[in-house]
Amino acid sequence: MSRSFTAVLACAAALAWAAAPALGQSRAAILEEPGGPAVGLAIVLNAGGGWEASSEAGVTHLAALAVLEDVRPRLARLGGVAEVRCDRANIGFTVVLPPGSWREGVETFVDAVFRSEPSQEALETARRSLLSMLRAGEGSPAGEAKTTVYEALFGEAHHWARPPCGRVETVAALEPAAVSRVLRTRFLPSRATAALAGPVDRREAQAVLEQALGETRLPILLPPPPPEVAHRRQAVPRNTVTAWIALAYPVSAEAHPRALGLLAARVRQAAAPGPARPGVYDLDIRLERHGTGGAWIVHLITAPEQADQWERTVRDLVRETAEATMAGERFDALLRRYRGERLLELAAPEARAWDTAVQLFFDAAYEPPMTTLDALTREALRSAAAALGDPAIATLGPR
Amino acid sequence: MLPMKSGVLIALLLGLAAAAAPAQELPGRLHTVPSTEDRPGLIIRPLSAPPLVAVRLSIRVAEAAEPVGAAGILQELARESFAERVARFGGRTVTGLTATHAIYEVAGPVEAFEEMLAALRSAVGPPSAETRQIAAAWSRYRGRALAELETPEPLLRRQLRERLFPVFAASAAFDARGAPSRDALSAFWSAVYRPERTSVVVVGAVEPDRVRRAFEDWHGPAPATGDETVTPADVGWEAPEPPEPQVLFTWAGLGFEADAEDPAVLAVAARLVEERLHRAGIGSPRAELWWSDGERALVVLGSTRGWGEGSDGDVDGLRTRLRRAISETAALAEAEEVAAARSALRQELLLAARTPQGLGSVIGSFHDRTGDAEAAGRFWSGLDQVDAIDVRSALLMTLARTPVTAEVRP
Repeated sequence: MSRSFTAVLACAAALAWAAAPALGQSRAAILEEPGGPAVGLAIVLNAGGGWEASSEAGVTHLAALAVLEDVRPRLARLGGVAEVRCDRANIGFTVVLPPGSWREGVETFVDAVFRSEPSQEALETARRSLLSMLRAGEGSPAGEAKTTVYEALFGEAHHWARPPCGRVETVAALEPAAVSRVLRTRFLPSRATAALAGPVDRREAQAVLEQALGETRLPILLPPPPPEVAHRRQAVPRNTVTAWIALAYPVSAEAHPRALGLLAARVRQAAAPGPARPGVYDLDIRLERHGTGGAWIVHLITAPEQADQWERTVRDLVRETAEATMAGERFDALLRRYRGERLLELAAPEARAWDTAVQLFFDAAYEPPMTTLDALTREALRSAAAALGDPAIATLGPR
Repeated sequence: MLPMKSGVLIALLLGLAAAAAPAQELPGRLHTVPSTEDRPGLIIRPLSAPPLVAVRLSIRVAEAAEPVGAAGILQELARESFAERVARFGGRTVTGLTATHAIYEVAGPVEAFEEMLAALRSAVGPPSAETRQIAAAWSRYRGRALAELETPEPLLRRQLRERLFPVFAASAAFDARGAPSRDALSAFWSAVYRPERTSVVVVGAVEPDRVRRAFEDWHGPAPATGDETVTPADVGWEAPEPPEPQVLFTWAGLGFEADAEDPAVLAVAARLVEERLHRAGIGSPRAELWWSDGERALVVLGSTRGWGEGSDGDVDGLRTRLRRAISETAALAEAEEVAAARSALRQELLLAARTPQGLGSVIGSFHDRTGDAEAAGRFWSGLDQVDAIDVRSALLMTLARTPVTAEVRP
């Protein structure tokens, strides 16, 4: 490869990661990445568990899976693979396509999401698959711990406390007409953000997404917040060999997701499973966003006799981080580690597309990862921790 | 020997076709630099994004039979410090052994590229461990290898490997002599961990010239040796006995030599045979292409935990059903199912190669097998050419050979 070509690639890299101009500055974006091995597409829809009646819990998830099942053979012929992502505030799709067929793949997929109705066969195949997944999770300590912390956070009666992706009894009973209604009323371009990442021509990709989403300047409707947040502790006695702890910290709309990511990295350093912490079996930290903020949630699985200790460790660390800025060297080491981990999270093109589409969904703007990471300071970390509300806490395990 | 199960095949192979066409197919344009006495061979695949780089280093250990297990011990000695050093900048490491190579992988932000190489160089550098540390590493390595044998499928696979590819079959875990002395380990390192036996694949947002410069004078001095011939056995350390496997059902496998067949054809054929095994109700069915150093085999295996004919525990019946799946595919494979199998393989390859680390693994694993940097791309392109006639013909030729067999009974 010549030096000039190398220089072109380097330039392209800088451009791709320094700025991904949004189409119409609103609901679609393209990350042009010449020379990449694959193309990633992400579509995020303003639909999901947060909008569903209790009797129809899971209808959106089922509709999305039916769309996927229906389009799968056509995508496969083009070499593409797609997945559904189900959350409280939205539901979405990621697609991976070979560079040679990305345009046809995107057009095929977008048509399936916004303009087609899945066959009855696809719907029933999707239902069987979803029921199998739900049955595996329902009754498990992990699922119960998650549900309990949302009940503690939002109140038991609130629909935001429900599992976002459906329940066995509701999904089994959903009528095809209910799925059709969701597809007609919620799987709409005006409710979507979208992003493409990979070796695509910017103008061509722009044309494809404009065709897909139509007018991209219309504001997307964000999900409403719950009417109240209940700061409670719920303890669920269960005859398990491990203890399950969940801490859900309310987050305001001004929260800085990447600063919270850095806080998560700090907690992981102190509490993740490892040879020095044999009593910790698993740790997961995620930020769930909604229209006016969200929740920063820590899930731990520990030895029962150490559950209280590790709960205190997490709470103390969040409090320490909120009360004082970290010392320079320690912060620099933490940030350095987090930067690498964050970039590796975005190693796949569909991950980069998803990250972009979610930013557009919640923030109506896109900021490249490097820009966000470069802006993280000790004060940003402290402020993010300080802005967290008191956590709702759920514990599950032996008395 | 790494089995080329369809899914594993994809994970290992994901080759990007050499990008001569404007619509870039996998793997894209590669830069290659041959090895010298001071520098390993390099295969470089630049990417414009993301700002990551992945490095896969493989060292050929196949012919170095003595001391048995040395490559595994060297990896164990380096594993933890390698991971810790790379974690400082948020990177990840992977180490492992194939039938022919010791593999060291590292991925992280491109801004830490030189640090990654420093950590990698240290991981594959001369051993300096004491006898006790060598014994501990040997225990860990052996423990993992023996844990495999507690369940029937890995045990069956080991038997098939040993019978199909005896030259690669030496298994350090069962060497009753135990861990080597420090001097023996150092001598192994000096003989084997050399640039001319080492290949490196670099994939990411890094310029080829920067990669070349970083690997100059890669190979360091040989380790000092003395009279350190004391082995762990000399100080009372004993190797544990291999465990008794927990077997509830009868398992059987057939391995057909298939060196003359095209690997893309065999990969598609294996997928079709496996689908047929599933439909026949065979328990835990697998049909795979096994490929190393130019030697290839079609392997089918399964258990009597299923339904239908032969699910009563009869090993001969199971073998008959395994063979029948191949012969039926050879007779009945049609264009549509071959096209579907090709699509599925390409999808799996695409998924495996879409990240810098995955792409490096695919390019590297094909190179390890063939010595050819473009082998992954040729496989990718070759998949497109496979048709039903190719599949039927390859399976008929394969069936004409007498297979090796293996079984594990309760």
